[in-house]
Amino acid sequence: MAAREGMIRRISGSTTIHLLLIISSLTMLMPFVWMLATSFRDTMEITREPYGFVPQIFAPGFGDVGTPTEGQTLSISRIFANYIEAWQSAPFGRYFLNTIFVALSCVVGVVVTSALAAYAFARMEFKGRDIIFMVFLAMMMVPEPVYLVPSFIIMARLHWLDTYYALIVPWTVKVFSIFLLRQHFKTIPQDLFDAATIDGASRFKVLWTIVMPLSRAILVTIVIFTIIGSWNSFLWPLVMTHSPEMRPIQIGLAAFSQEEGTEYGLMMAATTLSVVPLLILYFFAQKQIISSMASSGLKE
Amino acid sequence: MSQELSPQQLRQRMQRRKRLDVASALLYILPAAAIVFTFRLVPILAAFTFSFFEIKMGALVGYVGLGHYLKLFQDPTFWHSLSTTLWFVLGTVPPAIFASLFFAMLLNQKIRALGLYRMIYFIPVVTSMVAVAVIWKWILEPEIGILNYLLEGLGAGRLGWLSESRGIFQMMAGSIGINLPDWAGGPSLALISLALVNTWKGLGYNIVIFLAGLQNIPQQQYEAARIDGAGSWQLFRYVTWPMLSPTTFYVFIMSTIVSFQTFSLVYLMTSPPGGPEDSTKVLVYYLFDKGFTPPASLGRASAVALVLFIIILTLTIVQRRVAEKRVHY
Amino acid sequence: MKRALFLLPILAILLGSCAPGPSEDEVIFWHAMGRWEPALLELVDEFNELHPDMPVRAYNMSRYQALSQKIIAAVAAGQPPTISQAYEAWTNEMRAADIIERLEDRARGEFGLADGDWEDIHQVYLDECRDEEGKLWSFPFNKSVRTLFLNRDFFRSKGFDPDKPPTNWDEWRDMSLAMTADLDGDGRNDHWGTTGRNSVTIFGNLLLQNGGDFFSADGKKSSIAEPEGVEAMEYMWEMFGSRKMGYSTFDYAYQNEFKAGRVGMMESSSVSLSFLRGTISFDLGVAPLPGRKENIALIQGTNLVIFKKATEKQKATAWEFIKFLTSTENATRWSLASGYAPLRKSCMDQPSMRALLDEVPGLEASYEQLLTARSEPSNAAWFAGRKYLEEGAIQRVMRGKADPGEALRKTAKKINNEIESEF
Repeated sequence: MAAREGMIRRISGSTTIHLLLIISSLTMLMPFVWMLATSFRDTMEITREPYGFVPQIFAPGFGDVGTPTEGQTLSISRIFANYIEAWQSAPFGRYFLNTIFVALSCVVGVVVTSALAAYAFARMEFKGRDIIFMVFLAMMMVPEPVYLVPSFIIMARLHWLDTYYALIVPWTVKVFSIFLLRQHFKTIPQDLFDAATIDGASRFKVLWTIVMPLSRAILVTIVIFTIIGSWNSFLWPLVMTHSPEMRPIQIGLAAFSQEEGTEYGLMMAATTLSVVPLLILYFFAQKQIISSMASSGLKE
Repeated sequence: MSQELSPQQLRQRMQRRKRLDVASALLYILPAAAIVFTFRLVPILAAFTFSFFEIKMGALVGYVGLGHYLKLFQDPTFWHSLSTTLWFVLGTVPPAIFASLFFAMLLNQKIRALGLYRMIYFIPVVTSMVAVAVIWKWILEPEIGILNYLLEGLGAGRLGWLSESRGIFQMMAGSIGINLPDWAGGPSLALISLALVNTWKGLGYNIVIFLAGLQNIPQQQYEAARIDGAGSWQLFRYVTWPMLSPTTFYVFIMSTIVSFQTFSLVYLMTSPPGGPEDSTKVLVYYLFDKGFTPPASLGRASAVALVLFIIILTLTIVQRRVAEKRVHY
Repeated sequence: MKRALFLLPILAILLGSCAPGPSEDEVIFWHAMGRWEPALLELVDEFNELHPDMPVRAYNMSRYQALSQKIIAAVAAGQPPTISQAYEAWTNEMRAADIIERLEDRARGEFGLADGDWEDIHQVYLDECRDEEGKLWSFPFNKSVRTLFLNRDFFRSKGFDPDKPPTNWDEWRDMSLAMTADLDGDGRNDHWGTTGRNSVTIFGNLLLQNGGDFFSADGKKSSIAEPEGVEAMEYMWEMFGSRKMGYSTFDYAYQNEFKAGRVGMMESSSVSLSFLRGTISFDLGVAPLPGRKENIALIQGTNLVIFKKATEKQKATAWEFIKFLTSTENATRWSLASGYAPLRKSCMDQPSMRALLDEVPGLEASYEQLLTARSEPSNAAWFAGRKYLEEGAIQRVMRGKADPGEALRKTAKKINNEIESEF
């Protein structure tokens, strides 16, 4: 009897939880649904009737006599008209390639620099260690617009303006990644290091063969967040590049959002194109991210 | 053992070893340090140097000493952006913490479709600010935006959202017939709209961190408390909350730092930039405006930067001090 | 003080005043013509065929905001472009910072403009590019004039003749009032007479039309708070702020309802023509702005400047490029492709332009406003003052938070302080 009551309570409790979760996740999703819906509507349709989650091409009666779409026929190119137009209106293929190349290069850089630095900060004793680490952390407190112009000057001196170097090299260090890895390295028991060192392994070897594999989950997190950061950066590439061959996806996207005469359908199609790759990436990595956050020990 | 080392030899060897250690440690941090030095520290120090000079449209005009700082403190817009920034931080940090903790607790149970929910909450995190701005501007549009349309359908009034410069306290008081003066109006609805979008965007990230924190709490603690007859509120109050305090503190510090630095949200979402009547002009945007809108004064912008840096640094230190006393490890 | 002075040489090196300039064998042209880039590139390519030894390379910054950021960073790094689009507010600052060339010397020199050109290019454009001494510092390129767009079908449905748009303030108000309607009785208007953007430009038009001006004749006092200005602001409130006959927004959203066919008239820049065509399904017309004591409309858009840092050969080619872009034939092509207003009077006689003028009712009359048009003042006091006017007066009055007269008087006072601090 008591067990049954408990079960009922549990069931109704979990129904409430589900209800809360469903409502809130719908709220979270609503903007994206709206984005998708708008991306399938043409400008005339949007100006005529701005509200409507169902684009006219998907609505029953498309092309019927007496409707605004009279005589039109449905085809793949008609359905994806905005996507096709958005893709063709700018060198998006090139933008995507640039973005992917820059993101991957940053990932390599960030993993290498963070692993080395975090290892030193976590497991080595040397004078000035804590001060250097503090300086690193302080860098996180300075917003990007502050160092934009001096950085531009440095890039100009290096003749790096409008090159991949400008987009990659300064972003091959992420202080936050060093911080995360350092926290993690600190949790690895000293015995492991001692054992390896007795076996004659050099420090470097210990790092790559023992420590790094133990840090897989957190490395995945770092990789994902580096990709997200690089993929979504806007102000930096805007200022550091000027030819279309060098520009990444976000700049192409921002060009759709003109002050005057914004074409919402096109803009939403382009936005969708820019968001989807990262969503796919996240979908495959989400388990790792969550478990690594748990194991990273976000406590001192 | 004739090869026994004399104490002196031993000391020498130890010292050599230590020196080698230091050298190798420095080698390990060299790549990161070189980049941080060249592409962060030098530019930042250069920016701070700029603050003693007048640099207009990028061209050096002359030395002004502390002139920029004096002018800055006399500029009412500066004080206005400082208070706007504080409102923004207040409007994002506590709601973000409580909302994400709430959802993390909901998700920290054995329920079906957990992965799907987590995925959904995380979508805004991976979405770029450019995309977020595009989508939300379209949603919040006062005349043809979907949100006002839905509100109207529910029988509520339309709101100006991003173009509303009136303070929210003023609006709330106004709706029940009380007239509040401008100074007591509170943050503008435009700013609160930005704070909402910001919270929406960051929610998934904080949820994941809280989830991680929750999963680190040993189950025995709950069981022990349950045996003592604790109800669900007491479980939260005496187990979850204290055990979670390092995570909460971490989220608190990080989101404070990040929201003090808010820039692209304002840059991409508000028009006129800085919002109606400057009501969304947070400090970093003010800095950007001073430096990049003609008559662009990089010197003045850099002075703002230094002040902002000091504010953030002080806050972080204070937060740490407080936390050392309060946070349960 | 002394210690800080020793920083100066370091800063000078860092800031690139003695750094080598960028590439010297091409003319680097920065622009923000995002959506019209193809049309501009077509002209650039043609120019390059004529000048293979020193080609022009055009870089699209897509927005003015990005363009000004790039210019500032590039000047700081000692690597400005050769030629760039610039608003007069920028030109003014760049002139003060001594980084751009005075174009008067080139325009009057050996390879200068022909005598006829000085008359043919609309005076209002050239005047905007001149300094206090009447010398040219920039050259007009993409210009527009404020105008009224009409939904001719809407006019007919409301019983008005679309060929008789309002010609003065009273007609404008009466017509707008008659067109505004709350169709479903929910307390919100569904049809509107006029929409527009809350801007200094609308106020400026009304101020000048009402016989007022931005500054007193000697230039030492702001005259926006004179009775003509107060009347202008009151009229602006009535037309747009009170929401009885029209409405305005602070961004470009005001165009949405017009495009949707629920508004009779829209106050906008003539370049909006190119944004409207192809997105609307009604009969579109254009008309000059209604006047009061005078018929005046303001011009807008950017001009071209040449940076000092470039080599003489680059600068000479850049000047050739400017002349090329602004010839009657090319200016007409640019105008047709982009929707910007014709640069020269002679553009109106080009057959291709005639075709457009015949196609869009009222466009010719709208462009003829250029003969009497004005530009905003281009002194530093105004660029500061413009912001005060926008933020302190227009935004507050249009939200019903301030009285027009009082807000304008406060703003005028601030502008006067600005003038005093300059002298």
